Amino acid sequence: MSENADPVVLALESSCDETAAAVVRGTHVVSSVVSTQIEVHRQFGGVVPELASRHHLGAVSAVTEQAIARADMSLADIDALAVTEGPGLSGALLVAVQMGRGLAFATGKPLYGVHHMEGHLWSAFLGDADLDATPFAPHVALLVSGGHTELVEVRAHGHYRVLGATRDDAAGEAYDKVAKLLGLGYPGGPIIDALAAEGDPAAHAFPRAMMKQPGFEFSFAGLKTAVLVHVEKHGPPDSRKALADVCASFQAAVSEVLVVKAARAIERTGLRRLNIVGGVAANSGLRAAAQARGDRDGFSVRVPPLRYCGDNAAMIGAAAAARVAAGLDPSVDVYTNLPIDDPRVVFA
Amino acid sequence: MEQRGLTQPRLEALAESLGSQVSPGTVVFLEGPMGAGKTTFTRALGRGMKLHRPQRVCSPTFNICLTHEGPVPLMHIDLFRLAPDEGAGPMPASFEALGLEALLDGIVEDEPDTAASVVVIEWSNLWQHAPAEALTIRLSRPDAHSRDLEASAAGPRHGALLRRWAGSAVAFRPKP
Repeated sequence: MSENADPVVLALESSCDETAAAVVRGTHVVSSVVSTQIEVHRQFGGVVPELASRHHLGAVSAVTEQAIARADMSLADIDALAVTEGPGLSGALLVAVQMGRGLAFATGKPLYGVHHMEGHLWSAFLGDADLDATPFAPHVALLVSGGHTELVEVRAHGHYRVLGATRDDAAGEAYDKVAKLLGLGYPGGPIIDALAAEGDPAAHAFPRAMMKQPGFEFSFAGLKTAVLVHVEKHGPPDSRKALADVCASFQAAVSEVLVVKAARAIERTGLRRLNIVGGVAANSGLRAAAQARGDRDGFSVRVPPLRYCGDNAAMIGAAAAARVAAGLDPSVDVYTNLPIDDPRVVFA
Repeated sequence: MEQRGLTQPRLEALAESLGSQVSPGTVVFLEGPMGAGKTTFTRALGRGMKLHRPQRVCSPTFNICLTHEGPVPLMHIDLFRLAPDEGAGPMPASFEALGLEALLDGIVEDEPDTAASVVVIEWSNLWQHAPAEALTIRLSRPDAHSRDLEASAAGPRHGALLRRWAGSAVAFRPKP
């Protein structure tokens, strides 16, 4: 299929904290708009519960209009519509799903439901005005975010097998909770990442859980508790250097476990590409550790640019465009619980 | 019921035993500070319930609600992110807007006989319309390697569950 024949998709995403809309042509992002709750609350100088509860609903029309306007298109230029159909809370998912259904009804365009994590898989292949898109290729995906930490074998579009996942906290959750117990702000990832760059990663020997066990499961609850016990025993870090050392040591433990397991997945599957996707893929310590391991072991490491690491609708659009190109029938539902290797998601 | 100085295997055995005794409509309020072992407890409870994939039980903090399929489904809810706590970040949505109450038919109406799931809920104090009848389990961490557990029940149904569980838990009492 030539570049110009790639389907144009208008995609909406509201499965978690972000309300987003995007227009894509295949994997090329024409426009992408993300409205985060963090910005909304910052405008008001604090948390406004009533505002938060209505945020998705209030934002969805505006981000959709902006995405179409920034793409310099009208609804007539769109070939298909896409929404995130799961997993997530039904109240959140329904905002984009109902908007999508309304648009599909009004325009007669097909509406595709996309798994949120399948969207993240596609984030690694996105291109835009500043970045060339990459053709889809078989790979091992390390999906790391606030709510997910899993290794997925991706043999083809639609062929997903979960190799292992966290048995307790997700990596991003561990960052947020450690940031909280150290008295740092929210979200914890970027703050700890910045402090870690100044610290000594060998200052404290925090545990690396599940490293010796065979398989691909992760555990970060024990690491979080170890940092808590450290703070209880030695008191909160009393200098910027001490704080940076705790952050660097914590980040080294997280990165090492993620990279060791990912490298093991590469070895086991025989695939030579590792894609790191999801919000925690923005972490510089993880990126550096994965790249170093890839250089040593001879596999490639691909990480989306920061603008596509967090939740966005462009990745949902790209996944839907691939479904259009594959000739799949449009369908949409709301699934609060939907593993990426569920029969409703895999098709290859 | 009180169990002190539990090792992790003992805590998991207790949770697994409870999991084998719960039934649709059982509500567990699971309390305890960060690192007390709430996710570990729920995971073992899921094994006792014979969930299809107990290994997929993980922390619901970010997602707020995770549902696990099994002979009886388990709804694992964590309202931590709704806490108006400085530094905890923004509240993603108020409880009603999350669509959770629709999933909890029967339980929020205090008609547990019509409920389809077992519910484990962390930070239940943030639940605006929490059911009156539940099993409350408090976990704490007296030191780095052991856990204390306290359980109490409200209502006849959960009271009976607690008595059965405590009876079967005698075997887990640590040796003096």
